[in-house]
Amino acid sequence: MAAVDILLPTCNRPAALAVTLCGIAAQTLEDFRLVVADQGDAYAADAPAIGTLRRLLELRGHPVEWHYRTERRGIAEQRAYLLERASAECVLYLDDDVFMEPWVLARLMDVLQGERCGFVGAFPAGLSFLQDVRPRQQRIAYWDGPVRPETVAPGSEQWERWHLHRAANLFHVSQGLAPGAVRRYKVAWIASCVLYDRDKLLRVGGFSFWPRLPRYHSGEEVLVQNLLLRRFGGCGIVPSGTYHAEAPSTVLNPAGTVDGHALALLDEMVARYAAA
Amino acid sequence: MAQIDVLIPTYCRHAALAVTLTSLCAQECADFRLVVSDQTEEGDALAAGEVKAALRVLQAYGHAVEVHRHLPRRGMAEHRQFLLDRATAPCVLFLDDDLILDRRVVGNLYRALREERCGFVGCAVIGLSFQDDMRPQEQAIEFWDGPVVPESIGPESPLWIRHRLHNAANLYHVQQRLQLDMARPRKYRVAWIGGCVMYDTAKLRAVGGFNFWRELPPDHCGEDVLAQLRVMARYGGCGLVPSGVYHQELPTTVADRRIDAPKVLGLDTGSATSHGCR
Repeated sequence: MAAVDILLPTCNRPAALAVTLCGIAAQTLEDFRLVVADQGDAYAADAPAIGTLRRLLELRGHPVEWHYRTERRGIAEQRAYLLERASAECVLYLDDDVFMEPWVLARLMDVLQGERCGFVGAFPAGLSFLQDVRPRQQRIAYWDGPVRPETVAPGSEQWERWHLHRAANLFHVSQGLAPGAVRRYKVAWIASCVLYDRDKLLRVGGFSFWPRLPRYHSGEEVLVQNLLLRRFGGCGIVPSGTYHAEAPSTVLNPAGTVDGHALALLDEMVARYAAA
Repeated sequence: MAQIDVLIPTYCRHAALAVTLTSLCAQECADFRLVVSDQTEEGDALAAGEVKAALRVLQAYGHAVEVHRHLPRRGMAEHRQFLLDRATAPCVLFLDDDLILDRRVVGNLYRALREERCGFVGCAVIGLSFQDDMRPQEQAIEFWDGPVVPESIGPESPLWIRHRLHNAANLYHVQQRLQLDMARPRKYRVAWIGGCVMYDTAKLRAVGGFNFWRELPPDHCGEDVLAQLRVMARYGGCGLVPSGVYHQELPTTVADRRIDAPKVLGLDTGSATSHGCR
């Protein structure tokens, strides 16, 4: 069994997906399996670069599972589906438009195994914002000691940590670090490239709440991470070593927005899975 | 100044180019500058989101990036010469726009070129869709055990058949059979190599680079082959195995292959030979 299952939901972004797979193929940590859930209009695995990258991964000994799913029931359901297919101790949820530098997966594993926390994320920089330096959104709280459980309530001061993940703020912070240093920092939540302890994720219910959400929704990872923070703690790493391909979102409704946010379920989920 | 200029000619393939650029983002050897030249006539391959994102990552890591739109199209040889004219580094890596590179490729090429002080070192491109197509009759390989020395090979030479090792996935099968490792690549004898070739810039220029483009019609192929044959005749050249370079396997953008440069122009620099067009 592999140490990590990379869980990759994708929909209609073959060019960005190819970039993502290229980053996966270059990882120094080699003990992983890849599970793709493809909800695109066409079978993405048929695109030339993607077919080659898939073969390359398989030839290097990484099992690849490719599930083509025509029915779309929302991103939380996609994540729940992928989680059901996982068997490794750790699962990396990776968006289909994220390039990882070769060291990222190895570092995330080191931190998750060292801290024994619920999740560790590497938030991708949107480098189109490289010139957009926002000092007021660069406040960062590092974990100097071990990562601890914490309650981060919506609207609280800690909730404001999310501003660090806008634009290229985290990238700008990373440029002030000593070369080679990788630090852990406190998060409200983290998107796009997050390594979870699979058992802990299942102990807060995973994404099994998906039938309660409308078809177009957001915040499914915010919700599970909030529960994990309360019970086990979680963190981000900086520099993240990840970059957005900055492709348009594919989880929005035809009006370009969502019809519900998973945090609406927070109180109930806390009572059920993370009561003090 | 960077030791390597990576030179990429591109045409109508922005998604493939984005993957090639992403492969560069992951290279262990980071001492390179990048020059991309686009000849897409309708639209702008360099404006695609994935391409811009990859270029920004390279820039954020301190690589100088130069992008050009080079029109009108006057053929691949002229496009390569345009790129060579932009080079300032002692080594140039000509890279096709539809490849996937292992993270050690650029470093392996650079080390080998430095060790041998020859004219070029290349990593042949593997077509992984041929992984089950075993061709033992095309897998002959001759390693360089001593220093790489000049060799004169032309289309009529019996050594020309060396190129068959680069067909399909032959080189991959050789690498598997001999259990070769990217950390310790071996040098072998070639006729020529397509797709991913690092030249000593001065030596490539000394044989005239791709300036023979003026002697060819715009629709031609084999311009990289001809330049290598000329460099190899004077300075030597070799391939590396494992190569670590894979084709994304898109259809070629050089549709008209009737004019094959090495068959029209000979190894001698500066003059056309009597070989006709085929």
